[in-house]
Amino acid sequence: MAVSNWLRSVAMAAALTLTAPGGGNAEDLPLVDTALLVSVDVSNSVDEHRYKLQMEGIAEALEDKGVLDAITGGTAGGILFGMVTWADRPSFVMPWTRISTKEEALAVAAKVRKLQLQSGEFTCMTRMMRSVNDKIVPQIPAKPTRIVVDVSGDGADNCNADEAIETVRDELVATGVTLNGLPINEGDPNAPVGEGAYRAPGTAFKDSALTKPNSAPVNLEDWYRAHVMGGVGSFVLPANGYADFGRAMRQKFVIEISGVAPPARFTAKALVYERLVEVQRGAETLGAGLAR
Amino acid sequence: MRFCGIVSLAGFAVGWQLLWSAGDARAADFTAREVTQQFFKAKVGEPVDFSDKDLSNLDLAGLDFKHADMRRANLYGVDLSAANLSGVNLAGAKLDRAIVIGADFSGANMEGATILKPSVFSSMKFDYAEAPKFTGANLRSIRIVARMDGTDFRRADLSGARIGPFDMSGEAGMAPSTLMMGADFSGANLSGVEIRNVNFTFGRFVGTDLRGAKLLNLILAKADFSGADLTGADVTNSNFDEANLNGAKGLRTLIGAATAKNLPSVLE
Repeated sequence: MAVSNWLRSVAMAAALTLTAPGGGNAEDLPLVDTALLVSVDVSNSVDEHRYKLQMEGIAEALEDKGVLDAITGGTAGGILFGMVTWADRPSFVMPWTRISTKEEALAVAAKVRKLQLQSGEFTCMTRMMRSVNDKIVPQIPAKPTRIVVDVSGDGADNCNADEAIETVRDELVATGVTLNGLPINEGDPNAPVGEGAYRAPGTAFKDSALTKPNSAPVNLEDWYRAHVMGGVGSFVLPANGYADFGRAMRQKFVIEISGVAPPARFTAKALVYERLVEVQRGAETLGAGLAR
Repeated sequence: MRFCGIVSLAGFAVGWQLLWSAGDARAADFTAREVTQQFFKAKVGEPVDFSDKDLSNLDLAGLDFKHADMRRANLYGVDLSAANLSGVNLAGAKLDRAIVIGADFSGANMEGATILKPSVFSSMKFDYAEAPKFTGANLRSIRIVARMDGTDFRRADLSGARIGPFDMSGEAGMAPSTLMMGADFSGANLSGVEIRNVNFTFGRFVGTDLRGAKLLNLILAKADFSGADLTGADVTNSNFDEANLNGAKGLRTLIGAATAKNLPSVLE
């Protein structure tokens, strides 16, 4: 990882507090419709080309007419937009920025296109969520109607965090945050999570299909539904490869910013995952019965 | 950055940290979120009061401390990377094992604080951009054992400070010496300071007040002392190889000059 890049991005977080108008007392803060934090995986699997596709996809989504209408059509007439990229550690690469006009949206889109890749090895999603919970959400310099964290990536957490991802996810949800997922399915979307993933040497992949008793596959979309998705109106909307990222992001932004209910097929919990647990429980019950 | 290298370094560091903190395993008084919220809400002229509080091992990287009152706070193992601690009152605070990569302590009051074995760089290679800043800070009587190459101590008050490993079996751990290569003490007050076993190669002491300083067993190769005041300084066993002493005052009053290396050639 380039040291100066890392330091610059961490320093951006310091700059964040300076944007708070005269301290962060809730009554002093302006209203916005949505505080939208886009959180992008830049781990080892994300090369320069894939990174550009993601940044371009986010920028194009901000320039999309449907998204612009959603931004300007809310009751507060504007949103807050921020971006985190994460690999080994999170970087708040775009501090909270208000968007209330088309011009402001285009300016932010231009900044997104210029963001440099912060490289890293691992997919430390839990660590990212911890940072979002502890430092980014508490410093939102406005009173938002909704707080949405938009997590995208092409793999599951492989960072061996010292706390469960669900613990941090649930902490965020308890403070009113909605977490939506945009899993990027590269290759076979039904491939088991963790297959071929780059992870810490000598460590087992946690809580994936690979550790389930019946070894049935859990794909990335299911993993996102079980471990990332949470909060009011949360959903998972997959992209069919990096080339499809822009389309998925546009669709996602419109739903998130406008606050409309997402299609039912996106809001389903991890059916396959939960079914696996049911099958496992059934097998255990049957086994216990036979043993008696 | 090669992550594996960092992992092994981190593993080593964590191991030592566990040893060091074994007797102090209690949790911090606040969560990182609570600390963040208090800093965020703080208004100009109304600094947050964390004096005497335990914030050990929290991730406070990137935060603006907004001139907080952190007197005697326990900041052991805290991540302060890129944090803005300028003007913060850290008198008597414990910053041992803290991560201070790119942290800004300019103008802070750190009188009597301790910084033992902090993490200053993200890899074995030092980078000026990552060095913390102590410009103009009050560092009187501070205790420092650290690798702080390239660190900015300009115009800081370090009078009475104690720098470097004194007891190799105790607080210094396994460090053979403390590295402060290229550190800048220009215009700083180091009168009465006690420094032992530190490598100051390429250090800058331009116009620095070193009166009565104990500069014991230091490597001062190619250091710049132009305009510094060394009246009554003790330079026992220190190495002045190619140091610049042009315009330095008090050279005839140096104590232990006979044991210093390369000093005569410098004075010629």
